Parts: sequence; structure tokens; C-alpha cells
Amino acid sequence: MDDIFPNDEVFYRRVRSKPELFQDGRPSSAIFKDSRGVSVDIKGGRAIAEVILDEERLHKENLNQNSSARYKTHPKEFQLKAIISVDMELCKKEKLYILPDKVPGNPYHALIQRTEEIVILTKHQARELAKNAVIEKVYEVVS
Amino acid sequence: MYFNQTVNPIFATRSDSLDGMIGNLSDILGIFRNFIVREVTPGMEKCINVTSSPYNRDNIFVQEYEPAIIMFGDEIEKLTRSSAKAICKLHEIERLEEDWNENGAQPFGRELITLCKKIVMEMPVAPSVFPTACGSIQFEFTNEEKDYLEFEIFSDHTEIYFDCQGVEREENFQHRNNFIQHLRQVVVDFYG
Repeated sequence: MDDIFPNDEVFYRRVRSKPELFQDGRPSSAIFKDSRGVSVDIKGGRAIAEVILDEERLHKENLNQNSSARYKTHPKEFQLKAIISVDMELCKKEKLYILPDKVPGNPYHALIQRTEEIVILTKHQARELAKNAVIEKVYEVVS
Repeated sequence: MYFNQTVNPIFATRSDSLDGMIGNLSDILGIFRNFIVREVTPGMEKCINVTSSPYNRDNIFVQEYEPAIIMFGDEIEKLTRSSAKAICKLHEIERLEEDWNENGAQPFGRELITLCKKIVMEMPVAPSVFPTACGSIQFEFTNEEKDYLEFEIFSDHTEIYFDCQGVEREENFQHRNNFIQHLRQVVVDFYG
């Protein structure tokens, strides 16, 4: 991993308004528990404003592709609540493994894993990411 | 009579799920009214003015926590504002569809949701409730010392995690007889 990403790399994650994954203004460690790896987007030398715009684009594209019945009847539940980030220093401290995972329309996509072989983070790792995550942008959620 | 006339509109659309409850409606509503009154305390802003029209559908409390009020039925005296919030969160989690986290997360089965509701009802302090994309539901507790207790609940076991004054500990607990009482005791001990 050390060879792939620079020490000042940052990883961004979108958080929807539903389900509510924040408590008292901070993210729950539940955000970082994913059996497919924690889905993030790499800063990749971009300006933060560019990253935010790209996250908003990806969110809209995801919704446009969403075929669920609930999205059609309750679109407000799918609003963006926040964009949060964790940095490389924290990932290194927690000995996390970052797997580059380019997908169509998003060359910056990556997955955070416990190790190269094990996907799900430990409770300690997930909690440390939640405690130290930076809330980059909070959106006004219209109910 | 006052209760029947005033309250029926709240439950009218839910009569199918309330068959066993209608017979005791007056008693239940009496308890419900006491509960509402009990909850109108300083700091609980959303309950302010609830007593002026506690059973009206326009009532903020009833609107916000209706799934919990319906679910608790004749056990409504156990319902607190925070447990109502937890039950409603589980109701929200139950409605999540495939890919709810934009990374292919799966929806939750009713069995796990029902189990979590039972656990909430037995807790001395209501947890904050969150879904994970590992097929589990996470309960979080924080005490006055900012210590942290977490239950990660799966259908067949619960993983318990403590972070007390920086000292971490984990336990893995299979769901056998009386396991909910065990979880309850963990919370009791946590809050001392």
C-alpha cells in the first residue's frame, strides 16, 4: 500500500441522510463496517472543491440509476447528508489496506480493508476512523 | 368516551395489526396519556404542548414515534422517548432496500429486526441504533464518563465491544436462552 498512495493522500466517503448514521454530529463506526470493503474515493491530487463536486455527481448518477420503488415514492430519503474523509496517516496508524478499485465513471474509487486478505475492519479500526473522520461538508436535509 | 372519540383516528388505519389490542383500548390509552404527560419535561422540546392534544394525529410525538407506539401495544408503559426513537430507527432500517449504502449492501431480514426490537425493549437505557453493511445492527451506548459500549447484533450472535478509559475489550456472545438478559446485565454494569 505504501508504494501506491502518497503520505498526504485523503479518502472521501459520501453519507446519505437515510439511514441516519450520525450521532450528535459525529459519524458512527457503523459507517466503516462493510463486508465488501469501505467504499471511498481518493483525492488523487485534486482540489477539495473538485472532489466535492465529483462526489455530488456520483451521488446523482447513483440515484438516476436507482430502480427501487422506494426512491420513486420517497426521494428525500436518498439525499446526501455529508461527505466525510479519512487521511493516509490515520489509515497507516491503523494498519489498514487500501485497495484501488476503479469503476466505470469513477477512476478514483478504492476500498479500505482490514488487511490485503481480510475485508471487514476490526471494531477498533472502525471506531478510530469514525472518531477521527473529518466532516468535509454537511448538507441541509429537507424532510 | 373521550378517549375513544379522540384517539381512534390515530389507530384507524392500523386496525388489522391491533386486533388484540382494541379490547383494552381505554386502558392502554390511559397509560399512553400518563406516558405522554410523564415525558413532558424540560429539554424534551418536541414533547412540549403534547398534552394539549395528545391523541391527535397532528401531534408531533405521535407522528414521529407511531411505529413504536403501535408496536408496544399493551406494553406501552415500557416505552420511553429514547426507546421509541430506537424502535422507529429499526423500523427505518427494516425498509432499507438493496444497495442502501451505494456499495451493494443487502436489506435486513425481518427476523433480525424483530430480535433487535425485543432487545431494545429489555434495555435499561435505550441505545443509539445503526445498520452496518455487514448484515448486522449496531447498538451504541455512552455513559457520563464517555466510555463506549457497542453491541453488534447478528441473527445468531452478538459481538460486544467496550472502550472504557481507552481500555478496549471484546466478547462474542451466542444467542442462547436468556441471552437478552445477559445483554441487559452488560448495560446495567456499564452504567454502574
